Amino acid sequence: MHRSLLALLVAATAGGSLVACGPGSAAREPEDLRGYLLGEPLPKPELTLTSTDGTPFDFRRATDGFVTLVFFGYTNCPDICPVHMSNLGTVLATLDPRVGARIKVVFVTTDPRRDTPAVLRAWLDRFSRSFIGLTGDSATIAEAQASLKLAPAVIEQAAAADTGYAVGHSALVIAFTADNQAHVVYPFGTRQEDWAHDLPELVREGWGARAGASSR
Amino acid sequence: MGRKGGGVVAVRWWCSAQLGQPWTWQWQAYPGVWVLVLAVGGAYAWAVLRLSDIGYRTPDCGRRTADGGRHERPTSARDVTLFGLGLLLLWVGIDWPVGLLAVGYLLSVKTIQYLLIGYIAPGLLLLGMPRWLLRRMLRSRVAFSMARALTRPLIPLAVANGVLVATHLPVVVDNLSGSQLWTFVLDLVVIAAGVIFWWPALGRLPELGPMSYGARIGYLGLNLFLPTVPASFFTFSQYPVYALYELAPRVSGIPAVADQRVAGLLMKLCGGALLFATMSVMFFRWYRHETGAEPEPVLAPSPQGGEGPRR
Repeated sequence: MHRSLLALLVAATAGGSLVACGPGSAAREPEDLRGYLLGEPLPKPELTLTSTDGTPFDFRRATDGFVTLVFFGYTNCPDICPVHMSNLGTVLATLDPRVGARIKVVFVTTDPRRDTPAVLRAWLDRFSRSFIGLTGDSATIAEAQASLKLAPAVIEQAAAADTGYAVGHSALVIAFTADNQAHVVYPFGTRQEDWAHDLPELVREGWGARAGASSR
Repeated sequence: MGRKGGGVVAVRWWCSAQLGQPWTWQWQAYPGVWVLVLAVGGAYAWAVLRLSDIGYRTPDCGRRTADGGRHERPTSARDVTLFGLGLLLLWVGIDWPVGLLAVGYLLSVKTIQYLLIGYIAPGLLLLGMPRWLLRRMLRSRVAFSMARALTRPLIPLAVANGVLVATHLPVVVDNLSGSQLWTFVLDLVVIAAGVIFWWPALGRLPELGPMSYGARIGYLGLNLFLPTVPASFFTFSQYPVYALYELAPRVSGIPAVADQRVAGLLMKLCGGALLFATMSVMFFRWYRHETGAEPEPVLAPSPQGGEGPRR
């Protein structure tokens, strides 16, 4: 049931917001990217959540000018979340540090009940200490997903004391470039070699003047 | 098919990748594996209990076996032990949990499985087959000719290493592991390649003209180097080679690249140690043979009229 729910969410999200190709740059064709290009870029939303150190995190301001990979998931996720995070952590560790310094990975929990800041931090540290973990109340998290045109996460019906429930959520990683817009998304199935290919391109891409200037 | 809660539940007969399903230590039944193991074990037991009695103890056994069974060494406890151990390792390699982990979750376990069912088990099964039984199995002209051809090292070398490479191609692993039928076929191919690999190295039947001990050591030495190619890919690739293992739900949080490096080291070190150990045994048997401490193998006539061991 969990798998079917995820598949539905991914299909609905991808079907509603993806097209074959998008605007190009003079230097390099974005069609070369291995992620899916969005027909219309998504603007980076204004939202404030809570970081793993308990302080407010102004998403737009804190990630301004960086390539920012956003993923909504939960730490008890048995399949998609750890694979995405593990793959990103592995690839970031192998990239040129100058490229890596221009990339932020933001993991927003869809299960704030179980994913306390401490739990979130401990889980993310398994993949990379640089990953940013965000939590908040369910309404704010749902609003954040809606602002990115993602289907809202669905928590499996469970008794109040039950801690073994699953959470259906989108499997997409949304990639914001330095212009604070998302032009590309990455579904589950994106491999490490795909990330290794695309991340330097996203940092170099002419979508954001600041990133372009800093990397050339 | 069985019924559970009013609905029909499909029986999974053979370990195949259950794509996207998180790993669980909950035991799962694979009846196809048991059928295979019981069939092989049952056939051996039947042969040893029935044919051995006819072939060895009956005075006129020559008429029944056409292979001079009277002069054969009977099935020994050592034969049965080696065959039983080989069968046990084969079972461990293809049944839950090794079989399932190997085909859908961890490349390192797939490597252990390959060592078990592609090298160790076939060698033990072959060593556990008494000569009289091998001769009975090779009574037909076609079987004898095939066995004789496989005694020459080039074909087994090509088959064993061809199967090793083919079953490790990303296109094969990523596309066929989800099918029970294909994983069954691939497992059988690996087991058969293991038997073919050991056939010239063990030189069980003198009438097939086995290689000299020195040539056998050279043959095993060649096999020491060829698996280095896939092992190196595993060890030194920066990123995972197979989408299957990279995108599979993590087992105990082991990253895909770390798993792949362990697989490369296992293939190189454990595979190498196995072959080195066998080469060492060959060397000492060669020494004992040369110094006359090891008795000559018993010769028996072949369907073609017989041929002694090659010096």
